[in-house]
Amino acid sequence: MNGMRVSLVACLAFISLALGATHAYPIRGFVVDATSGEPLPVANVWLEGTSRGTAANLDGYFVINDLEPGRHTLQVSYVGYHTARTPVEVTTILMEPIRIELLPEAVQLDAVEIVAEEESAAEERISPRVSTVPVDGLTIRSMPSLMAEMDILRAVQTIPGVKASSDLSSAPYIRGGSPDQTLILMDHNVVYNPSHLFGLFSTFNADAVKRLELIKGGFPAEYGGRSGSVLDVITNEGNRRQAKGLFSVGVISARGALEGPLPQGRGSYAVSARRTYFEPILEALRKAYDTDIPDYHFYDANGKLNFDISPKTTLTVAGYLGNDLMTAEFGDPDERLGITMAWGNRSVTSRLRHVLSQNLFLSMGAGVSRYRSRWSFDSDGVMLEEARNTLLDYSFKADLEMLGREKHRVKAGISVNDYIINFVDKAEDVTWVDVDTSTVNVAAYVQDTWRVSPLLEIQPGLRAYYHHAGKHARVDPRLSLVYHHGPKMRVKLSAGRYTQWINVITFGEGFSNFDIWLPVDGSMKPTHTTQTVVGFEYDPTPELQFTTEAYYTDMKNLTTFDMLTDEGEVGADAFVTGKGFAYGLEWMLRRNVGRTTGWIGYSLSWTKRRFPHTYVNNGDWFYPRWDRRHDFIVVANRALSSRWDLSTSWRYNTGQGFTQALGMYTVREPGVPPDWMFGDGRVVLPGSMNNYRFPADHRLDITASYKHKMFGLPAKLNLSVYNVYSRRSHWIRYYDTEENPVDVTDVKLLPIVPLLSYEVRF
Amino acid sequence: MKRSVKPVRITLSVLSPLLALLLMPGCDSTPTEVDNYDPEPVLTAYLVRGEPVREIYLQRVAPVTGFYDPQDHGIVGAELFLARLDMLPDTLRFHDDPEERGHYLPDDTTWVPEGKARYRIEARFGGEQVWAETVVPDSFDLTVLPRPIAGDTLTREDDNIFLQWTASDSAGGYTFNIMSLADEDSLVPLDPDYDPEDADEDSLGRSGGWMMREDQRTLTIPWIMFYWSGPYRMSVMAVTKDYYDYSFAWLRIMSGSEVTLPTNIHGGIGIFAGLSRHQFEFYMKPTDE
Repeated sequence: MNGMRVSLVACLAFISLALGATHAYPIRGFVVDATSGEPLPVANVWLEGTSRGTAANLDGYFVINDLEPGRHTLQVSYVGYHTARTPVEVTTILMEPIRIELLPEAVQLDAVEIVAEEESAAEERISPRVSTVPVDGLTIRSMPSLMAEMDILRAVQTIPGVKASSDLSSAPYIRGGSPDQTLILMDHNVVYNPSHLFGLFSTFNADAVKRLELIKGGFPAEYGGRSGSVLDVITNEGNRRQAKGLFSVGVISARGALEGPLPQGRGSYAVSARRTYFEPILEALRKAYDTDIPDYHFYDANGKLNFDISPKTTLTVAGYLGNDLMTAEFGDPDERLGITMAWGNRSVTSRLRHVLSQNLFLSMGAGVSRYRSRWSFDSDGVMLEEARNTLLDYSFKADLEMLGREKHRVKAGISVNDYIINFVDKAEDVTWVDVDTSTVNVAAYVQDTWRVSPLLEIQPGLRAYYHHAGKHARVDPRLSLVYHHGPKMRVKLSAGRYTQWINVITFGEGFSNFDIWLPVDGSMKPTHTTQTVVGFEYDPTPELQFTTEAYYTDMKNLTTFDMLTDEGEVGADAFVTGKGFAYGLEWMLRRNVGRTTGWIGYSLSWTKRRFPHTYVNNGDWFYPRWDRRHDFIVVANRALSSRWDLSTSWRYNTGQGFTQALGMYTVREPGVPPDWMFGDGRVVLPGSMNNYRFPADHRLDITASYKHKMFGLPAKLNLSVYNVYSRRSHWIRYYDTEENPVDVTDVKLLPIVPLLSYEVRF
Repeated sequence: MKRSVKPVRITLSVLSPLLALLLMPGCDSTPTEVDNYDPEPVLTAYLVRGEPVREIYLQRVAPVTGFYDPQDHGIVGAELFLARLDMLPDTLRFHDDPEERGHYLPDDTTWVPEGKARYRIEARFGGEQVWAETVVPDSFDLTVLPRPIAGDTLTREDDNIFLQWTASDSAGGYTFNIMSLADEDSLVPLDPDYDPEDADEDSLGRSGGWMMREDQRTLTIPWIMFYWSGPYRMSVMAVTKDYYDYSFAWLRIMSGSEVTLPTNIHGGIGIFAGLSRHQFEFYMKPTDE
């Protein structure tokens, strides 16, 4: 609790400091897209003819203080936009925030080209934040996709340091962490199970995504609750100038999106939705093969409304709705086995952004997020098993930013999460698991981005928690710094402690419909990690950025589902706890501008885990399945002409670990002759976990887009080819002991998957 | 019943057609190479309360590759004995079965384990020693509802079989097992529409079972567990915690989970377990057309 007090005192000191800091004659305003009116986060704002400048915050708001009255000129830049030169008259009266509009940069000759300028290329490099990779929605939508379904989590998997457990999973494994160690935010609201189709696709509709930022490690104090990394997804705010739409049909799904201004120019809206239509395909397969293929579909929808209450205040309400449903009946006509599986997320969040005073920017909001899954199995009226899991997360969050100071940019905030968990797993009169609990987690943070000198910037931060269940209190210190060695080179460092308050029981790869989220309670300790990251950045040209980073993460109180548990009423019943570590080196050469954009990345990494005194690998150290020693990736997007775009990615990585059988023997059950058992009782003896590796994987994906007009409307035909040369990655090794000698089979994953989609914008 | 094992297995079954579509035709037969093969000893022994001790098996782990003949891997000539620890010197010795390598028969065929008693088994061979201890669960009462079915004839149209039992002292769980006693060559499916061509491997099984937690007292047996007409043997056993964990882990491994198989055998692997059981036989009549 001492940590809590320190944090509260720091917050109060910060607020009084900020309120008292009234620097005369400022310029303040918002940087927005001239065509859509959407804010441009982290845009660069400079005072022409001086070395003074600042970066806008995530809502596009900036303040430059201590100006002489008179006429000044601002230079405002943002990647992919024309640099704007805006004359501003500074008076002795506090001005209302101005709006600076930037026009998107486009080459009219034969292809869209993103153009760099010296200032704009530097914009995202002044932050001391390490391990941060921003990706805009345009880049995501142009990347190669599986089954023509653009997927942001699969796009994230192409970033060095991010692994996939297999081709079947969109879940990101980042720097040795499991997917639940990544905080996934959509419009500042936590998303708990971002998966469709048992993890094959993510729930994020790429049409709805404006930008994302992946922080692979060493994240600042403003983020918390997870022990690994942060994926911050911001959805489109909607065009404030004119209504626009999109409709797209693919082989497995259709998507639509609509955005536009609210009446009287009081804001904007953006909605998008998609739904699969597997059903006719599945029905045809059922008839063609006379087999029991289940029915399945998923859908999701995003919506966002922005109300401009005043020039200084905007209220945003965003919602998400997504569901998967699978039903099936199997077996003989009079002995049908019925199966139902359904899972999905719903969330509503509101956020008020308000220019509180000359230097203070307030952002506050409340939200509710619900993840629910259920499955049931019955046979001819006998309920074999039924399980229901609901996680409700009511949240409140407030952030206060102090802008306008030359050397300090202070941010503080508080968040409150009220978790309500209900999980029941029962069969007949036996209730295996009955967890019905709730707890409140309160967090407060303060961080300062302090420009110590023109060459050195540091960002100290503290995040304090109080978790009601178990009365846990923790304080996580964080520190980042950047040292500029000339205009083109930077050294970055970050270190900190990261505490996790919720754990997942997962039965699939990465995220799956079986995921059960359980917050820490009085029976267990929270997972925490200590991370250290050292990075070096070099800009050989304005278009290119080279990054190399080394990291080490120490993990304590790691949890994994106890496979041998058969009952539970508290969190500790479901988990075994252990420890782990991860370390590695990453390199990335990125080109954000020009007709060819993309990156080349390589990571060399190790991660190991151990759950002492358990049946998980007999309590010994092991490499988890997502451990990959080498991982090399190339992503390239090329505007070939005014009509053709080409996007490719190629990846090579060390093969997945698997558990090789060490031998075989005959099991004997009491009263059952071995020759009456499967395989005459022959069984293989598994070795230590993931004691062998499959051969290395490599895969080429390509998407070609043909742009044209359809009834006068811009349209695009996309041909997406997944795994172009059909080199199938290994997934599992299967031993068929019914055969003698044992038949050893390696199951491989997806072959070449070419699919078309067609979209029309209006 | 074992929670979660069944759902995962069923889910995999449900998904398998979809998965097959995705993976088709993606399976390669791959020679397996193991560089740390360890031929450790495997001891398997069960003591059933109130029933004479019949046999003990002692074998070595064999390589995965190559034809497997259990006779090639049985350990012969071991000095093997069983002792009741609370009644020394009550010891049962075993000798090699000349017909089957690794199969040991008791010197005294009337030696009967008792409930709640602790036993130790020990084997010495070629400088190696394996041993384990267990406590035999005590007796318990079993009721079959809606009517006793021992010696009876049943059909799928009857009500589901419902079992109810009392607690057994020293039990760490319970198991249910159903087994078709018909000859393998004369198995007749219960379902008149049954087509062997459509059957998956699971449906060809002659035995099946459930595991029940230590605090479970009832179980309804769905008819889906019965594939064949003819004679059946059904048993409900109170088992030791070691055996419960061992079997539970096997179910997990069979459904794809990666857990280490627990063993209570010191110096090797396998299981030494005490059981207390009820078993009875009945007849399943084929379903009418």
